[in-house]
Amino acid sequence: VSKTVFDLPHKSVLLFLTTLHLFTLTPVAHAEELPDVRLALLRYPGGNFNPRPNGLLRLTWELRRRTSIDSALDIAQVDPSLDDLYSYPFVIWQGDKEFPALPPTAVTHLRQHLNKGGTLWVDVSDGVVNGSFYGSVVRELKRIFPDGELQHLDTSHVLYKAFYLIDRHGGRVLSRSYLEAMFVDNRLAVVISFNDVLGAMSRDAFGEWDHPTGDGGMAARESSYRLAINLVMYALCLDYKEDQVHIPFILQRRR
Amino acid sequence: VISKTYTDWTFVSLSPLPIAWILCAAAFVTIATAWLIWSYWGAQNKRWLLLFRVLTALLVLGFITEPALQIRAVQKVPDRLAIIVDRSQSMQLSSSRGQTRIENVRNVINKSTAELAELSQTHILEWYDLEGPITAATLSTPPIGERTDLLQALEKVRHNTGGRPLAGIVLITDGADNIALRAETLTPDSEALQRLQALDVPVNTLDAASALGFHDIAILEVVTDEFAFVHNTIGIDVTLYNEGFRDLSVPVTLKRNGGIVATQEVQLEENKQRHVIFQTKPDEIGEAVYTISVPTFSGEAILSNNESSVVVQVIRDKIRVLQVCGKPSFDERFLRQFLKENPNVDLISFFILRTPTDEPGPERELSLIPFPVDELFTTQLTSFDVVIFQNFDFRPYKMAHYLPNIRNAVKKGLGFVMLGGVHSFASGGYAGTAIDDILPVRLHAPQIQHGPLIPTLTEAGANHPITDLSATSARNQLLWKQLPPLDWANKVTALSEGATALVNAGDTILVAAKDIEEGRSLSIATDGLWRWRFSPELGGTNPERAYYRFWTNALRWLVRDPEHARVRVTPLRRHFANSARVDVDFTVLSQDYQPVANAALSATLEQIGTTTLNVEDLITDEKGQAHLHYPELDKGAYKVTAKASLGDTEIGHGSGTFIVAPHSIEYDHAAPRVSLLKAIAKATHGYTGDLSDNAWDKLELKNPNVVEINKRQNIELWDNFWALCVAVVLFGADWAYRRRRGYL
Repeated sequence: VSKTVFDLPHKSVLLFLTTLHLFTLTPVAHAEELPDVRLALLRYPGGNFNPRPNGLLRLTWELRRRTSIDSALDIAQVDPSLDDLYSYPFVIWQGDKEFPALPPTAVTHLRQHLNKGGTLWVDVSDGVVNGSFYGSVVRELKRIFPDGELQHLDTSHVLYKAFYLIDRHGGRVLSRSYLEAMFVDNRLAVVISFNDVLGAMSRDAFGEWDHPTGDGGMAARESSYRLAINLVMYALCLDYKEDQVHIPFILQRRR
Repeated sequence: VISKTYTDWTFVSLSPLPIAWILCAAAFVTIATAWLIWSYWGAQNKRWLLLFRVLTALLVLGFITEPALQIRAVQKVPDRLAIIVDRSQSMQLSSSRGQTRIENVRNVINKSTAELAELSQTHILEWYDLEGPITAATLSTPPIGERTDLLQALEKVRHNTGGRPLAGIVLITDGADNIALRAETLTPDSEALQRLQALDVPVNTLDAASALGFHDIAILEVVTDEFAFVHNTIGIDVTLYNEGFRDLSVPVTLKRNGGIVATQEVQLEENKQRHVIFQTKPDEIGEAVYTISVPTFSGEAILSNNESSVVVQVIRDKIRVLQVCGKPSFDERFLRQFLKENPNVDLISFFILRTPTDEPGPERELSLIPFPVDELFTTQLTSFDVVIFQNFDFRPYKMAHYLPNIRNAVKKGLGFVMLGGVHSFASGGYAGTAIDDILPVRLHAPQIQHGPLIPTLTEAGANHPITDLSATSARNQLLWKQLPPLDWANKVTALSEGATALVNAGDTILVAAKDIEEGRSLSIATDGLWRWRFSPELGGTNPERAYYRFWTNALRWLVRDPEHARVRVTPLRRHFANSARVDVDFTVLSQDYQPVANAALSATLEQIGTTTLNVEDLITDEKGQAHLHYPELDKGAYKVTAKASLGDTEIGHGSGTFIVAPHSIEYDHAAPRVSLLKAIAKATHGYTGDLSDNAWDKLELKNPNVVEINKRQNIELWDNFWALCVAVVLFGADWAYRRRRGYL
């Protein structure tokens, strides 16, 4: 009578354990890959609402590559006059020239959006200090929040450690070395970056950079990625990183 | 004329004319006489003429007024003397000699028979207590008055005219007024003093108690918050009073649910208050009965005030929530914002920001920290009330052997929530794990149901506290239909054993809940609830409010908030001052919060700190309710525990606590108040003294000033022969004089 491997007790055990190990290590397949977040670009009449079409696309790729966020690979364009705005709590407002006043409905929607917890990232694509696009944005922000006040964002803010520990603001040009922000209920509701951050991130389908960064070089582009990723992280996690700082203390306190 | 029959006389007018007519006629006669006198002023021998005219005028006036002499048989009327005996409950208090105040009163009255008889010769003696007239028989019954309002009693007696004047009032009392004169010092401008003076009768106050002495150690007040946070210090402020005892040291004991928590030795000075504060930390959630007690001392008048209890509702300080999220998303972000902004939540969040396959760059340039799996799911797990797994796949973090810890913690009371996402439920690899054992839904192959999905309440969800988003059932149903649709959901189609589906969406069980021994589990098969939070108002519906309410309800249900209990024991009151009527309601609800009819209830009554007193078996009605009435419970703290079952299935148990503390203000201010009695007597010009001090002949009384006329007779002075003679003589004399002088 010939013996098979199954007649050998130690081999049977080995086979069993190996099989068990195999199945244990094999993750169950996910049902489908659904995006965690879809970036949305504010589409407004007049002006140039999408001067860096490849910038946000590159950001989605970098989010997927660098973080756990499965960002949708397409960019939504959202009209602030429509209720569709409420499908996108994080909205990017780009431009490089003056634009006319937003319709009153858009102003109302943006006010409600930001009051409810929305985050608006304004990227000044022309990189001009007090330029026409920036002027138009400030004008509209005054309509959205008549009592609101834009202020320099201190680098101690959690935005600077939301994912990367950063102290630079990147960008295609170096117009300003700080961000401006407007708070709602102690939460960052509006963030304005001046250095054309999305321009520095923008690459074409062949991987070529769309815009030079001058003396900033690759460091400026990397800083741009990091700032943009931190902005997305802040929109999704708020001040979570401030919790983290305190966790050891909190856990210790509970002992 | 006045004989022995008549003792008094007076003049009266018998004229039938009205007084006005009489006055007019008298004035006319006087004026006419004056005119005549004036006309005679130049005549000779006018003296006689004037005399005749004046006498004639007086005669005419007499005819007009018809004067008469009235003689009377007059007798003085005896007035009333009101004797008020305080028959309030404080008069039942005994002294160290064992004699009660009311017994002292009875003894003195019995010994004063002769004095009272003498008083009754000149006064009608009327007996009252503080409520009204009494008889001698009433006086021999125990005092039962529930209050002492001396001023009102005096005013009642004063206004009870009885047809006779009131010579005075005798007030026999301990002076322990607890209404109008409770703290009154009768200052010159006080209303009480004005009311006393308005009596306009002497009030003689006889002190019936101070000679007996009064000794009492009293817990006057116990003050604490009605609610307290578990594991947080609360203060219990106790006010003690030493009445009559010399300075002494008293051990004050604090008990919680019958067990001694702390004792403080307190020095109590004679006739002074003392505050004592206990600091204690309740260590269990629920109703806690705190009892303050001091020992009883020999000769104490009141023993019932040596112990006092309060019920404190001990609630969670904060719901400690662990939120573990597999990847950042808006669902995570808005749930975190809700939890962070909720003052009742202590939140610990862990978000997976980077997976092992991600390439963010050098570690030192990141703000990331390791996920402390071991610490969270071993030593720290029991410090949380609720654990939320949100789109979290445990497998990359080698957590498999920690999952049983979570299951075991849930069985011991932890609340667990699994929220949807592509890494949740079956997609998160939980099938066959310890988490699978506690989930309300059964896990099969990972599937996604695409939307738009409209959440729909199930029959159970229509009554469940988690899904109760509006004030009324009808509005709640409507609200759920108007909530923003969901983009997609994890497809779960089967409930695990004992679970309840609350909300469906398409073919999937969107929200399901399950009791697991002491803990609870909730599944929400979507990561799209944030759309409610971030939605504009829709046709009058505010989805944002619905979002907040849903999560608030969910947290309260997960931590077994007493308001979400399925077996509810509700005493009609927290404190029963009347021990004769203690009512307790019971409500039994099913797992889907529907009333359970015909449920068997076993209700056990125990006096906290002692023994079980009573066990009653009840059956719920069609509304799932039952009622119990406990008659005549002694003073103390009680707990009713009810176990409910339907057939062989146990539904659950609940309990309610109440205190029976028959309370009488008579014992709050029972010390004799001689100063008040003196002040009352002084204000009314009465006598004040000790009852035993032979006070009856020292009473200050008003003199009687009213007489009674038993017989009278009028003797007419003008309407008689002699008056006619005088008139004829006067007329004749006048005529003769005139003729002689030649005036005719």
